[in-house]
Formats: sequence, structure tokens, C-alpha cells
Amino acid sequence: MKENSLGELQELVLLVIGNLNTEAYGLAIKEFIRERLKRPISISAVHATLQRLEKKGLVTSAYDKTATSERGGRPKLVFSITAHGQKTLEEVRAIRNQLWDGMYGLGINPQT
Amino acid sequence: MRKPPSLISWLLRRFLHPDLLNGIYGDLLEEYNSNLSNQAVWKANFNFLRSGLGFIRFPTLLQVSNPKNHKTMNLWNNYLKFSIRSISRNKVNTAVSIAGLVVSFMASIAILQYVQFEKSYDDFHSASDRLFRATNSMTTSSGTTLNAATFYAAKEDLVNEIPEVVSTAQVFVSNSALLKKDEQSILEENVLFVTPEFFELFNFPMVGGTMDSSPNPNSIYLSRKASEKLFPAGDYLNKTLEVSGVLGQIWTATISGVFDDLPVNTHINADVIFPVNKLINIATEAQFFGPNLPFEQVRWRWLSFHTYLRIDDEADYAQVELKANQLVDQYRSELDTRLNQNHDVILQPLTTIHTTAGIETELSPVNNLSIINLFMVVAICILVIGWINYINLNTAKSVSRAKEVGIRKVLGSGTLQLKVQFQLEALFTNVISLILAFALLWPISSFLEDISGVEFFSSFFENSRLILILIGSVLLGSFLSGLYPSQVLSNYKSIDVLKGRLKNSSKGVSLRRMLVGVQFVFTLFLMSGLMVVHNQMSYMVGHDLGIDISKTIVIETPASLFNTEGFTGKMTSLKNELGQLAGVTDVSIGSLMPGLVNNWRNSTEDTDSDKAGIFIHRATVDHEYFDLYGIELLAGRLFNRSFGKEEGNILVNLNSVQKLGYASPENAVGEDITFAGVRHEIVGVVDDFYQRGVQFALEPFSFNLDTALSGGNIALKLDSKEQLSKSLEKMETVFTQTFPDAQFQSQIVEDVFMAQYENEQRFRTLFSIFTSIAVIIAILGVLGLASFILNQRIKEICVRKVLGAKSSSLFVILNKEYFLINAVSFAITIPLSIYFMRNWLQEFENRIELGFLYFILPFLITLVIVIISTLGHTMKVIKTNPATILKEED
Repeated sequence: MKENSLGELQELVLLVIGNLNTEAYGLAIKEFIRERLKRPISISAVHATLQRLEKKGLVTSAYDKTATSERGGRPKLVFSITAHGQKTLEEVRAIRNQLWDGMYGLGINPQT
Repeated sequence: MRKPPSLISWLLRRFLHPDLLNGIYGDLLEEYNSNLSNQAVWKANFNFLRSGLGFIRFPTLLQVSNPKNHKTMNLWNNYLKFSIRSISRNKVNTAVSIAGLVVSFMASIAILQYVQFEKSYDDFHSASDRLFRATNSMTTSSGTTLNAATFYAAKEDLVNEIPEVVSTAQVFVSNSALLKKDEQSILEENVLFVTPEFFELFNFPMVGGTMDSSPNPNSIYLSRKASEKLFPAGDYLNKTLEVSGVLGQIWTATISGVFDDLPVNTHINADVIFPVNKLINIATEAQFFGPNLPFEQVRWRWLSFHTYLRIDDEADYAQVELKANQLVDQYRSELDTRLNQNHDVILQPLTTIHTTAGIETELSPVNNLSIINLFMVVAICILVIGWINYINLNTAKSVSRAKEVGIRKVLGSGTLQLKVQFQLEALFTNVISLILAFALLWPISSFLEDISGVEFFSSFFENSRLILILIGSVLLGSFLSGLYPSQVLSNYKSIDVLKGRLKNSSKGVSLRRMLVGVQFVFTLFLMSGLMVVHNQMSYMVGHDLGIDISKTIVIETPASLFNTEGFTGKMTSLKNELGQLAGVTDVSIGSLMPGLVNNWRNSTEDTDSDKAGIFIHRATVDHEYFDLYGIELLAGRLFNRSFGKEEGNILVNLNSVQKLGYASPENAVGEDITFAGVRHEIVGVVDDFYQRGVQFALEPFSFNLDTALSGGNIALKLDSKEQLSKSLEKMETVFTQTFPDAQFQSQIVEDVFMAQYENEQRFRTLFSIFTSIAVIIAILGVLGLASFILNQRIKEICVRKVLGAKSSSLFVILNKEYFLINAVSFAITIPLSIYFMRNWLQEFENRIELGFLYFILPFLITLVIVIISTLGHTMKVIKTNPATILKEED
């Protein structure tokens, strides 16, 4: 379990990749986190996180074939979640769910 | 589309991991461009900068920490490890190459230090670049002479009439002084009269007391060394001393101050200092210039004062020199016309005094700049020889390291990495050698100090420039000496090496032949230099002086008693008693002592301008003087008792006769010669003799008869050298019986005379040491080359042997190489040696001729040394059984 442990930012980035689907490259991830989650983050931190995820085998990366002038003719490095990544995310989610269930399932309602 | 800041772009391109570069850099550009649409340019730039620099925080994204490149970084440790390993593995080889480097470093550090010391004279005074000495240049019909001293008036008149001159000081050199305190008395040699500005102009600090602007004429100033002899407790201030001997006077002086001992690297020597106004008092009271000449008129005639001036920071010294010359002309024009002379002032920078030869009455011996520079050349030669040696030995062992290189290459080392490795080894060896050189110089530095007269380490580490030069040249040298071996080694083809094809490669032999050739050139140059120096010295020592100085002792007459009652009577009886001592054959009293500079000179006065203005040395002698010194008579007669006091009669030497323009000595006899208004008749002419060393030209001398026997030097001729020490005691007894209060002082004339050659002797010693060092190092280099070449030719030799070559012919074949290298070097050396040695010999009035022998002999000697030293290697190769070599397969 330990080797699959995800940091909070790593989990977030992984989820964002899933949300962005085929358009998951560094800048898009950063913008997504900034706009949707209202969380300012530097591009270098995003890339560092992506590297860690790739090293763990949770994502793979590939250059797409597009070359736009606003990128100085440089292709995008697009990330996608691997099966192992998918599984890890689901595991994390299952654990979370279990825990959430536990909070109410035993009939202890904090409201009452 | 705008371009983002290029520095960041460059940094990113340079340092980002190449796999990620496009993605990340593209992201940054995209962000930058979108920022530009809603932000000011500067803000977009700033954001780009911030985002870009943000990557520094994440080493995983950067190139340096990429696993592939990780090895390069660690290689630095690896290099060091392998350097140490390879150095410690080839112990003998390393020892030899380090020894060569250490010795050459030691020698060149020592020389550098010596040169530096010689050039550091008088550079420690404040504003030493604004300090000058007014050197006098006098032109007469017989030529121009430079005199370190100038006129008395120069001090006051220069500072008063030339606004650019800030301050002036004067020094007058006295004879030695006997200082008496109660029962204790000491004799001090370095006695000066100075003006009060002396201690302001020069950085000679006072330890106690001061010199006022108008000092008490009867005050005396001592060096710390001198004061400690008399007052070990330091209670010297205002104590009185009896001073005797100085200018033949006795007086009581009060100690007004003590100054720090003067540093070694100043041209001034002083242990006792009196104020100049005392000198003026003595001169006027004793009527130095005759009864008719008031002191006012002497001011611009008394040519005995070393005059120093400090000129304004902005002033142009050529301008000051011009004004000073106008001043001299103004005051002396009338006199100069009458005497047929011309005086000029040369402003000589203080710091150049020690390195400028050819000026008379210097305060201390000078060392010619050309000799100092010659030493620099020697130092460079030795350094280069040392490095060449390193190159040779290293390439010689390159074959044995070739396998290592091959393996390294197979394992993925690049050429650059190999080069770095070998350069690092060179640097390592050089630094170790430098440290060792210093460590070894330390214990022998006192020995070096003795022979060179230079304080070694005290000043070395204070001189940051010297250290920088040294470190710089060691770095450069280690780079250059590592360049070639690293080039050769790193370029080996790994396949060739591993297949063993390399053994017979003759790569780089021609370059190494050239390097050995350079070594030979330097060696031959130094050896022929040594021979020339050596022969010139023997030539000078053995040269016929025209005067017999052997087996002669001189006793100094007590100068303080000259004017006392009955002096002549006492001297007469002393002379008789000394003459009766066993072993003493002759006794004579005269003012002129061989080997010591004679400061009594007069210029001739004559209506005939050809014979006026010629400076002739003067001396007083008694009747026995010429007999004792073996000076021959050429014409006329010597002084003779039957002619009585002979006042107005004079003897001159051949040189004077020539300078005065007489056709022959016979013609001169009976002619007149006038000095300072007094006419003399020439009654005889004696032969020329070298009064100082033979490096100086023959000089004109004249002699008057001294019936008062106040000449100052009692010369005794002994019948054998062995008598010397035995007679000395008896002489002292006789002397103290006659003059109970005086100090007995004797000198052996030959020793005094030989002291003239001290500089040259020292030069010879240093030169021999450094030459032998260079030769030894060069031979090490030859050995390196020999072993390399022999290894390569061993197969050839074996084939020759199989085909029936004789050992003797093999020997010739193997040694032909060195002969050729040596011969080429020999041809190159000849013009080089001729140029430098001729320059050096120029210093000497009497010099040897540069013969072919001086070049051919070093050539033969090196050849023999080389053949002998490589003999072992050569014989081994010749004696090898061909079968063992030839059976090996490639």
C-alpha cells in the first residue's frame, strides 16, 4: 500500500488529468487548478508533481503532434492516467468512502 | 509575437532535462503569450522570470541530476582517485619526475627571490617613486665620469630655486670612527654626516630621540646595533662619547638619538651619524680648502655630497632636471670654463641606484641590471628544462598506460574526460612538487643567504606579486606540461591498444626529440656561460697588476693623532722598529692602499687647454713605497733622500702621461703640473698598475713625497706567507708601545684586493650551482627519452643482430640520435651564448676573448655525459637475446 500512497497534490493533479481527458498538459493542469479549485500553483510545481507521478507509473506522457506559434513551435507533453493510476485513484477513493461511511454508518450523527 | 527574456530561455534550454524541455518550455511560452494579452509587458516578463526560475527548486526536472549524467559529476572524485593511484603505482617514475620538478622549482624560486630582492632596493620609502638622487656627470677632455656625489650647494639651492623640489637631503661619507665611553671603545665603519631632512625623506625610523631642523653640531646618532654595544640597558639619551678618527679630529659628542638599523635593501649604510653642520665647522676650522678660499666660494666646488631630492607629485622630473642643470651652469660657468670641465645633474630615480653600474663613489656596491636579468634567464631555463623533463618522462611511460586508456575508452570514457584526467595528474604532480620545493628550501635557506647575500623567507611571503607570479606560472606550466602527454594518451585508439599494436608506434618521437633539443640548448648555454664566468674570474685573479700585493700587511695609522706634537718622530721610530722585526723585509708609509678606492683627486690647471681639467688621483708616499709594492720606474727618478724634502716635486704614472698628452715618459719629465693653484714639477714617471680590481680601467696617479709620514697606511712586506700570523702579534706590541691610546688595525692587502671581486665570486658560485642543477635535470630528461626510444627500437636491434651486426656498430646506431640532437642544439646555442656572454664581459675592462673552445667543450661534455648515462640501457638492449624478443607475435 505504501508505494501507492499519494500526496494530496499528487491526487489532485491525477484527478485533474482525468478531468482534462486528452488535453492534460502542464499549463492546462495549472490553469484548471487555479480557476476551478481557486488554488494558485506554479508551473514548476505542476511539472515536478507530474514527474513524480510518472516515476510511480501512475501516468504516462507523450508529445502530441501539434505545433502552435504561441508555444514557439514546441509540442505539448500530454499526460494520461495509466491503468495502475486508475486503480490507485479508485483505491484511494474506496478508502475515503469507507472512512466517510464509518463517520455516519455507525449512527453517530454529529448534527444530533 | 514577443520574445521572453533571453537569459531565462537560455538557462532553461541549458539546464532543463532534454526529455522535458519541449513540454515545459512550450508551457512557459504559452503562458507568457496568454499573459501578454491581458498584462503589461514588464509584468508578463516578470511572471515568465518567476515561473522559469521556479524550476530551480526541482532538481528532478534538471539535467544535472539526470541519472545518465550522474557519472560525469562523480568522475571528479574518480579523477582524483586515479591520479593518486597512478602516481603511487609508478613510484620510481613519479619520484624521478617529481624530483626533477622539485629541483627546478627550488632553483627558480631561489633565483626569483634573489632577483626580487635586488630589485627591491629602496622601494620602501614613502613616495619612493618621487625620490631622486642628483648624480653628477662631469665631462672633461678625457671623457665623462658619473659621480654619485654632487656639490654641497645643491641641497639648498635646488630646493630654494626650483619650486617643484619639495625637499632635499644630503649625505657625506666619512672614514671610520672610534667611539669611546669610559673604558670601552668601539670602532664603527659606516659613518655619515647628514642633513636633518635625511630622516624625513627616507623611511629610517628613530627608536629614541629626534634630529632637530638645526641640530647641535656636537650631537651623535647611533644605529640600534651600535647603541646596544655601548648601552645594553638602553639608557643612551644625552650620554656623551669621545669621537676620534673622523676626518682626523677628536671631540666629545652627545647622543641625541638612536635609529633603527637600516634595512639590508637600501643603498645607504649607516651606524654612526653626525649632523652636516659639524662637518662644515671642521672644514672651516681645519682650513680644508686652504687659507684663501672663503667657504661661500666652496659651496659649488665641494663635490662630495650625496644629494637626494623629493619632487612634487605632479612635477615632470625631466623639467626639474633641466632647471637643476641651468642652476649648475649659472653658478659654475666661470669656474668650468677655467677648468675646462662641464658639470651636469642627472636625476636618478632612487630605486635604480642599486642596479645601475658605472657610477663612482657609490655608498654601497651595486649589482648590474644585466647580471640580474641574466639570472632571470637562468631561472626560466631551469623551469622550462624541468617541465620538459616532466613531459618526457610522462610520455615515456605512456606506453605502459596505454592499456588503461584502452579500457577506459571501451568503458565509455570520452577523449575530453581522459584529457581532464591527465591534466589533473600533471597539476597534482606540479602542486606536490611546489610544496616540496618550499619545504626543502626552508632548511637550506640560510646556506643560500650566505652565498647570495639575500634574506630569503622573511620577505618572500609578504610579496603577494611574487607569489601570484609563482602560482600563475606553476598553473600555466602544469597545463602546458600536461598538454602533450594527455593529447597523446587520450588519442590512442582503443582497439590498437587492446590488441597490443601500440608497442611499435613512433608517435610523438620527433616532438620529444625537439624538447630534448631545447633542454640541450639550455644546458649548453648554461655550461658555456659557466666556463666563461669561471675563466674570466681566474683571468682577473691571475692578471698582472703591475703592483706586488702578495705577503703584504697594512696597519692603519691613528688618524686622530695626525696633528699632535711629535707625531712624525713617533712614526719614524715606529717605522724603524717594525722594519727590524723578524721576517719583515720592507716598511713603507703611504696614503694609497691597493684595493681601496682613493677619493683624493684633483683636476689639472693649465693655460694649455689640452692639459687642463684632467682628473688625476693623488697620493702621498715615502721613499720606500715604490720598492715595497714593486712599481717600476720608466723615466726620470724616484724620490731620493739626497734631494731633501722635495717640495714641489711630483711623480706620475704612465697613464697620467698619456692623459696629459706627452709623447713618451721621457718627454714628461721636467714638465709642470698644477693642482689647486700649486705647481709641481714631474721628476719621474712610474709604470701603470691596477689600484683596484682589473675590472676597472687603468687610472692616472700622481705621488708627492710625504716627509711628515702622515700617509695613513703602514705597509709591511714579509718574506713569507707563513710569517703572517706570527708577526701580527709582534707588530701589535710595537704599535701599542708607540701609540698606547690607538687601536691596532691591520689588513692583509691581498684580502682587501680580492674583496673587489666579491660580486663576481658570488655570481660565479650561484651560476655554478644553478648550472649543475640544470644539467642534472636535463640528463634525467635524456634518460627518459632513451628508455622510450630503446624500447621502441628493440625489435630493430634484434633483427640487426640476427643479420650479423656487431655490438660496436649497434652502439653507434643507438647513440647517433643523441649526437644529432646535441649537434643541432650546439649550433643554436652558439649565437645565444655569444650574445649574453659578450654582454656580461662588457662589464670588465680586462676580459677574456670568447673562443670556440667555450662552445665545443660543453658540447663534448654533454655528449659524453649522455652516452655514459644511457650506457646501461643501451648495453641491455644490445645484449638482449634476439630470440626472446622476436618470438613474440603481434
